[in-house]
Amino acid sequence: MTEVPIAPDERPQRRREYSGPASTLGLAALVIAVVALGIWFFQFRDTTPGASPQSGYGVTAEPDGPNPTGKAPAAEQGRLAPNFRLPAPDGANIALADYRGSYVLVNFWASWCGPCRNEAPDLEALSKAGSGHGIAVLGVNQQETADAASTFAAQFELSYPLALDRDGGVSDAYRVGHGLPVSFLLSPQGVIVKVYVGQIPHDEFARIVQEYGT
Amino acid sequence: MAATAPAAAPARPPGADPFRTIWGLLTNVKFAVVLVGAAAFAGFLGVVFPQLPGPMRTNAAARSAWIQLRRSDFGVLTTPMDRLGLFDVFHTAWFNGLWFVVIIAVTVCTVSRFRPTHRSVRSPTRQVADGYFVHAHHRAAFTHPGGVAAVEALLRKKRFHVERTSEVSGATYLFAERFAWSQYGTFLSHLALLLLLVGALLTRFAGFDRTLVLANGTPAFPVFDNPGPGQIFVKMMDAHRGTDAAGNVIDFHSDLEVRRGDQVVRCTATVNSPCKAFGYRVHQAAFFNDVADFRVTDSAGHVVYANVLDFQSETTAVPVVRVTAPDGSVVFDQELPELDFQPGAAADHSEDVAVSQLRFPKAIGSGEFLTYTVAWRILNNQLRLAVTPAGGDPLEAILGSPITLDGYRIDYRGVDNIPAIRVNDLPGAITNDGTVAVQMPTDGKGQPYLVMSGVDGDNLFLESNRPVVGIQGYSYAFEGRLAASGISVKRDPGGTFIWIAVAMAMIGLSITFYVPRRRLWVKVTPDRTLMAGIAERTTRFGRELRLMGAVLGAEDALLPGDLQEP
Repeated sequence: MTEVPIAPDERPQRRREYSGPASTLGLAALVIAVVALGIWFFQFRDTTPGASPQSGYGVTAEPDGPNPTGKAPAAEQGRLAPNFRLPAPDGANIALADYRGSYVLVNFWASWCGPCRNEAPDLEALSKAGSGHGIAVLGVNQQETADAASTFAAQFELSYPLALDRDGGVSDAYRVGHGLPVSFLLSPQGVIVKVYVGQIPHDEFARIVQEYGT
Repeated sequence: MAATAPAAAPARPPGADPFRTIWGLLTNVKFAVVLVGAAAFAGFLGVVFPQLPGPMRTNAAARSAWIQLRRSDFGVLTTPMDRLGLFDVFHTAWFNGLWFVVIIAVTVCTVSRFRPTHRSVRSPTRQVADGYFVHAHHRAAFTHPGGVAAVEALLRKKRFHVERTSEVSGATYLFAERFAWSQYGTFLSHLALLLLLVGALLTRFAGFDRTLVLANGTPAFPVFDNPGPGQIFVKMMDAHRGTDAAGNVIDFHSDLEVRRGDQVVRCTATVNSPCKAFGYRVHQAAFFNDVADFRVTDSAGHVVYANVLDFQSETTAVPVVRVTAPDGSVVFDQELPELDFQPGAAADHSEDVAVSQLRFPKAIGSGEFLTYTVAWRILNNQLRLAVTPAGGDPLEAILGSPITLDGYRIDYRGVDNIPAIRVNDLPGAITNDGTVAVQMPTDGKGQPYLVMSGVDGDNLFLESNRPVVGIQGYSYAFEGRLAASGISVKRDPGGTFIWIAVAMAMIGLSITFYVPRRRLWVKVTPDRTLMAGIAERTTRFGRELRLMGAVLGAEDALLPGDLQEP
């Protein structure tokens, strides 16, 4: 007769058993790795762009010419502004480099942004007042449709050019997030001379013309 | 028959394997109690101490200002408390680390249970030593006719799985088992706990939840803070409050357009039935009807302000007054907006007085009007109203007790809370602080209108689509009241795990507590049958065995009291 235990294990389901690092701690590590994978999967998986980037648009190389800062372009005061090329609502191309030679206020905006709506009449006034003084205004719409941008322009009777940053790439390059509006005043050499976070105070527009206008 | 000890001996001496030491700690009950206690205490700290508001967490300046405000309460302890993370407990490394250790401990405990449980189910101890029949807690011994065949037949009738394990010296050994799989119940419960933690982790780190307030006809609003190809926009096409014939609200729903790049999903969201788009659930979370569409144009006709005026649920209490002419016709019945305000000296604002004008036609259709000054203040949470005729003394109007002036009966019918807010940066503001007070009462026909103070010497009354020009030459137009919905955009990857975990926990606990697992060893000799077994959740398994003996025809099986039902 074979050797048999005197008593069976009465509560095996309550017993914990160590059977080496691989099958206990290792298995636990595997479970945790699966959780981490799950987090990664849900967090980063669904980043399929809604719109395929249009070739030729977005941040582009700087135009030929001197770089007075001696540093790479960056969205900071005193640095060369990142160059970009974007479509207008009517399909025309707008390139920041085309504004070299005059001051330009690059205004990031969206029609859902209340302060942007409040600021639009002042920007239009600056555009008109500055046109004869070497100051231009360029609006960059953040990820809205051409219809939304056109409706906004018609509502406020805007005459300055509006560019569509459909995939947010230019906003990202300028580190402009949800907190709109944000504006960058660029020198004729393309250097950022001032950054305005939020709505530009009404009185500042007159000062811009006075200080930078020719 | 020889006997051995039951437990498996450790393969190596404790301490020789560092992993075993870690394992020992993670499966130690005292350590588990300390961990859970520490987690509970940390949670308690996070509830007791004020916590940094979420939006300030990434804004260093706002964070610093918030911490400075805490110095008035915590004094010199503020800095060390801040360094310990006590003002942001749930986002500190030590709090997350604590829960990480809890999760590892639960994982290790759960994993460690599986092997012995599975072995017990698949390869149970089929034979026990004879001594077990003498010493087992649940046992019986009796003499009956029919021998081993009768015992096997009875056990199978009782749904036991029966097998003969050996026959030695005229004795037959049986092993019988019922519901062996129920041992997995405890494992399932532990696995549920682990899944619950997994779900919580996924929700915590990969979940998303933001509520947007979107009014009808306003531009699509972005969901995420940062622009990018994955940005989603939600546009309100129609925020709707459904009512039945009696005017009772029966449902809220929002027709939405959800866009990501060039892809558009149009759907209807309600509170219980979300719209699904791009991996997110879009729910109706609230409904508002205190949003006004508002526009200002300059003297040249250019739009200088075109925006929605969101009253953000801010209100002011105003009286509702009805005036009945001597001929019995009602000539006025509506809310009285606040047209002037005289602050009092009392700190509790009980002496603050709001003033309005009660202006009504002498008769329906009459071009002649009577005007009384109406003033009120809030005293003991009640709005106290006084009506003053021109050149007369004020008369107090009591709620529900009409007063009569010049033959007109004036009923103070109640109090309404109407939308009221102060707006900054409105063109044409003439106040010192640049703010304009705007109220949105309803008229006698239930139509909303705006009352603006601060753009003219007098208050401006703006009826829908009837612009009024202020003192600075700006034209103010109320373009109608807008319905708006609070729209919740969510992604909760942990939700599914949590539902599964709850189901698993319920099934596991039900199995553990309610499935009558039985494991039985029987020794049948020509003279006597011995039974001994294991049955969790009952102390009367021995009685069950003796009753089986009685069913088999044994006269010596039962003990006194065995036939009494528990």
